[in-house]
Amino acid sequence: MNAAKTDESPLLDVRDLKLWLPGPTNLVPILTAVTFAVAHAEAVGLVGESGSGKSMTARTVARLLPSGAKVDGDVLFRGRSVRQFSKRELREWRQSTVQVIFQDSRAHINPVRKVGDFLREASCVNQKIKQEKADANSVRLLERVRVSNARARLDQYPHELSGGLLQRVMIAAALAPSPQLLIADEPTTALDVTTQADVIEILDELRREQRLSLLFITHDLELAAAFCDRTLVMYAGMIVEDQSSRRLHDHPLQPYTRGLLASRPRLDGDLTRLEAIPGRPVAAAEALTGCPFASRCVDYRPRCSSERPVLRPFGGGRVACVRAEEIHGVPAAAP
Amino acid sequence: MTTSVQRFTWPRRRLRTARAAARSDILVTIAVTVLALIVIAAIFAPLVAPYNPNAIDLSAVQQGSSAAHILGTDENGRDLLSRLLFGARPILAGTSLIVAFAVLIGTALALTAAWIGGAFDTAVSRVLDIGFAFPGLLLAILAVAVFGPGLTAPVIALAIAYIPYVARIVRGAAIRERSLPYVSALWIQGTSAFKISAFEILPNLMPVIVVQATISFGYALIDLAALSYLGLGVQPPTSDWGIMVSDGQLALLGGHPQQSLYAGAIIVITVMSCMVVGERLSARWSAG
Amino acid sequence: MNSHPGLEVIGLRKVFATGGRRHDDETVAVNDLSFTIGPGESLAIVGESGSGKTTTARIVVGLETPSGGRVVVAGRDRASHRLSAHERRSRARETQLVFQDPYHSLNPRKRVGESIGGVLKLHFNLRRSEQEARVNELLDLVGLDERHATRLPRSLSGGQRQRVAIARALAAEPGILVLDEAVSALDVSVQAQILNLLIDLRKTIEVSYLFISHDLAVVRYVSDRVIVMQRGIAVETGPTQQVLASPNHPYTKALLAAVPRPDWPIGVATA
Repeated sequence: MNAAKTDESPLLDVRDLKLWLPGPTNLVPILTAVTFAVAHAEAVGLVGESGSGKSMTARTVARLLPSGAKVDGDVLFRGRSVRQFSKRELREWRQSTVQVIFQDSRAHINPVRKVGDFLREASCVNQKIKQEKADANSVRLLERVRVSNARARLDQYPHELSGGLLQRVMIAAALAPSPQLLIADEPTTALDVTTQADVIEILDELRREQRLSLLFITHDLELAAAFCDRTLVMYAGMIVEDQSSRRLHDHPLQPYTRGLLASRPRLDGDLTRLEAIPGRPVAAAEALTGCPFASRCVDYRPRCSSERPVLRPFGGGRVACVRAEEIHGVPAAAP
Repeated sequence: MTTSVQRFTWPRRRLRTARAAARSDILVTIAVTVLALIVIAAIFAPLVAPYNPNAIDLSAVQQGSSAAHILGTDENGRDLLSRLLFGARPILAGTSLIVAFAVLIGTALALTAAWIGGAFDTAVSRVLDIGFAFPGLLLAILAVAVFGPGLTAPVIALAIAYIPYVARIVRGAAIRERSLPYVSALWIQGTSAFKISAFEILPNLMPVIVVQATISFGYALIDLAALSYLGLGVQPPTSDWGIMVSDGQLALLGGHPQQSLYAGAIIVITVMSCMVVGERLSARWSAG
Repeated sequence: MNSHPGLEVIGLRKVFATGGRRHDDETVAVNDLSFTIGPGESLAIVGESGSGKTTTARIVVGLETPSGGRVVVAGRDRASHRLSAHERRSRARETQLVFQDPYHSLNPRKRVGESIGGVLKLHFNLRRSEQEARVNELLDLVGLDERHATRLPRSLSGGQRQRVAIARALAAEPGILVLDEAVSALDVSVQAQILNLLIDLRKTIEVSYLFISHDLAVVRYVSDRVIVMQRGIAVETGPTQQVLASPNHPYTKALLAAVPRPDWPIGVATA
């Protein structure tokens, strides 16, 4: 709690990030204007549907892009530009300071090596721990993520573990080098709901314990709002809302966020027809002028088609909507 | 869920981008052009060839390129260009038959095995494995030993030898396709297994089959040329690329390389063009 | 429309051999499951992976054969052996299935009109003009229009493809529509559209739903009754509202507790 207050500068500072990926004939815009920051020991949720660019944002931050990708803007980690890292600096950064967890854990672990080998690699990487100590370390890591029979698991192969268990192993491996930032790209989407709850609980506990910053990418707004400190909502390659999770749930600022919350079936409340947003989510390339959400917005006015919204401070957070003031009346005072 | 950035392109636009991509891929364009030219030349050989390929002219033996004979002559004074043009016919026809036969039988076998599955599929796979173990050329030589030289025995033997290659690839693709929900949906409707395999699954396998056919064409061409080279294919005086390579060997040692050289070159060019087209098609279709 | 059959499943059991060398290497996917669906009713089966809910759906529709128990549709016992084409065709007029994956449940080379028309051709003897009209009617029913009939699946979004899948299933005029996680692969905003469509459809035409899902909130909107399954066994059943509001079985409680909410997740009980 103290470190976060004394060190005001953010851990991760993404400034006006733009991304293009190679398409069949030319470069296709994927991200048009992404600006956000993650503070020390803060969990930030990045939420979006198809085409929102949430996954690509994570990959751009971690510099895991395919060849031919074009990036503009900057990604600053503790004030240093990640984009300027040399190969060696990048490797070190990715080995110990930043860790990434993916949705499909099976695709990111070597199926012909044992779990113990995988964890040993993860712990030894920068720390030159000897073999015997490495195994003891691995057992400790597994116990921390509540994997039962930890010692026995070291001798098992990935296919012998269930999805949820494997994801916990990945988390253990990711936390082994004591990173400062963990990027999790839909880590629980492929898991059962009870397994998801377990994994989220472990993630939450560990990140508070280790004072880890977390960038959590998901399509599930409720999930992000439930366990992240702050939530960013993305649409068509740009961030359209940035608020503390609690406030976002009760007072969504952007019509898209409001629409998303309203269209999700609830376990409580009246059983009325769902307020579905018409149309379908678009990608950045399909909405390059005006507001990308204009064609689906209930609060649409003609100016929305011509003015491009910019993410700006509003009501205690940030919003990208040209009509924000009109829709909400006078902006609420920052908390 | 990820979005493919190409997902919503209309069909016509896709064709335009495909043509654009093809244009930018010089190698494929050259390869396709070369193949097209060779096929056209083979078909229209009687009209295009300057001389009768069997016309012996003992006054013009072993000549290099000249105005009268663009590619020179062989040891009997026969025009090489004409012999190459006419020589394309048996080899291209033979290879086409081999590929057609292998593809038809191989695809039918693969589709049936993929659909029925279980013991039948295992049995078919084992039979195919035996087929793989037998080199096609060896089988062809055996066939010629039994049935005599010419085009028939080698073609049938090689066709049989190529079935496993086609069948294995198509079977893999068919098994994958069969596991997709739209096949289950058709099954629920009450469509017969035959109709599903032939009219729903098969069209979706065409890219795989075409690629396999193209690449097999290249390999089969080499095999057939090799047989002719050994004297086991078409017999003289019919001109054939393989025979020309063989006939020209003695002349090569005597300082007249043109026959072997041109015949060998045209074989290599044809085969490589096939491979280039096949490989590029495969890359385009597996990515797209 | 078909005179409405009911669906009765009695003591359903399905065992899969897991391919081990020992004879007792088998998984019991569905264990003694019984339920009924009356005309116009909507029953949901909820569970996680390995619960047996998808297997049940596939058995009802005829894609799998049960190892034990009976499936009675329209008062007639459905055969437990592998069905012939003719038997499948008649079953298709009683039960239909909408799959989870909108990207592979349509033949990629067939236009939408052809896919739906194919089903019509199989079951009904219509003139070409009648068939076209019926295809348009079905497209309209699912919120699409005539122009979509000439499109290929690849030019449609996930939500649109799922609408086509529903139209195709309804083309056979089944009494029971089985939806196997039919909205799970869709974006949240699109999911809501399809759920609304399903709710509306039930009011417009006479059809019952067997709705398979892992998502309790979705099930609340779309079903009258729910069965909660765990490892092949029905652990709780009852009217949806009631089960979700006051669950009895610990597993149901665990499922409910695992749904993300603002005051979550610290100290989530695990099953």
